Amino acid sequence: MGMQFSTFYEIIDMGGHGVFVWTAVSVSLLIFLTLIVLPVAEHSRILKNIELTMEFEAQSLRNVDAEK
Amino acid sequence: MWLYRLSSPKLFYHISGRVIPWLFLASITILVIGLFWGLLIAPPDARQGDSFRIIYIHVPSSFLALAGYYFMAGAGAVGLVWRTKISFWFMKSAASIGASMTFIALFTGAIWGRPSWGTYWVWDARVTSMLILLFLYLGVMAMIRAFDNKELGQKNGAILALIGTVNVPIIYKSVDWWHTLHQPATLKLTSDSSIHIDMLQPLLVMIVGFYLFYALTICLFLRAEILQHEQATSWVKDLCVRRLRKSG
Repeated sequence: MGMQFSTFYEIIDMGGHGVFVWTAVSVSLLIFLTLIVLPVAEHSRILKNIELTMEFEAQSLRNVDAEK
Repeated sequence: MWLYRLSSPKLFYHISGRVIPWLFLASITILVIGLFWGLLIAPPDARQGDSFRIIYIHVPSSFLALAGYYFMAGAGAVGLVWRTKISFWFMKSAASIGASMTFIALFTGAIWGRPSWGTYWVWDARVTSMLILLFLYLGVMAMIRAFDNKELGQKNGAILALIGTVNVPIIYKSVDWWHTLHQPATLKLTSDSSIHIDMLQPLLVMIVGFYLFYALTICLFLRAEILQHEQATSWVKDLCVRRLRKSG
């Protein structure tokens, strides 16, 4: 069992069906990519938010101490 | 017992953090192998030519769309009965991923329909029941977010998910019960599959790859969900303190 296609053009064309196959593949891969990027971005956004709040709280505590 | 312990958000967060790199590596490798094998090496179909290669995405995504619905509804049921918070968060994550899988199945099916049926869309039993599945997923997603009272939204989402499970066996059986344009099942658990072994092997590889990818995305979505809900707890604060110290 070897490659079914011998040239790059044949891979793209797939006997006239290439446009269907490659559209299906690329749209699916795009959705897969989104399924990874979305939760990872959300995860780091939440982490950053928590850390900003903590730094803000620490800063205001220090300010209170300084006023005393 | 281990399943019960894994329902602790903190423990799940830490374990999944360790597992994710491996899941990522494994699922991407297997998907690349399966795609390469299915798209370039497997023999063309005698009747459909090369357009049949869409099967290597269409069938695995349909599998996950259906199995994922059971995962989602099962998590909802567990949440309703045992009131574990993480079950509802799992349900929410599974809803987004399942909707994506269902969309991929419908989209690749429509594209495949053009060269083999002569049309992108038919209102036949299989296609229509799959579209209903997509609306069920979207309905559960909307229901979870529809209430100011988060708990109420989650409970209603779980109930809708459970009611919707009626649709799943209908999808499975639709090609047998009605005369549909959709071809009968390619893979059967109880009898020989109607597909040649050279075409079957890459398909099985793709199904394994899709399951691993599903597990990966569940972990990613669920971790974000956990962090969002647990941000006031001490363990999340400890986590952030350690991160802040590391970065200086």
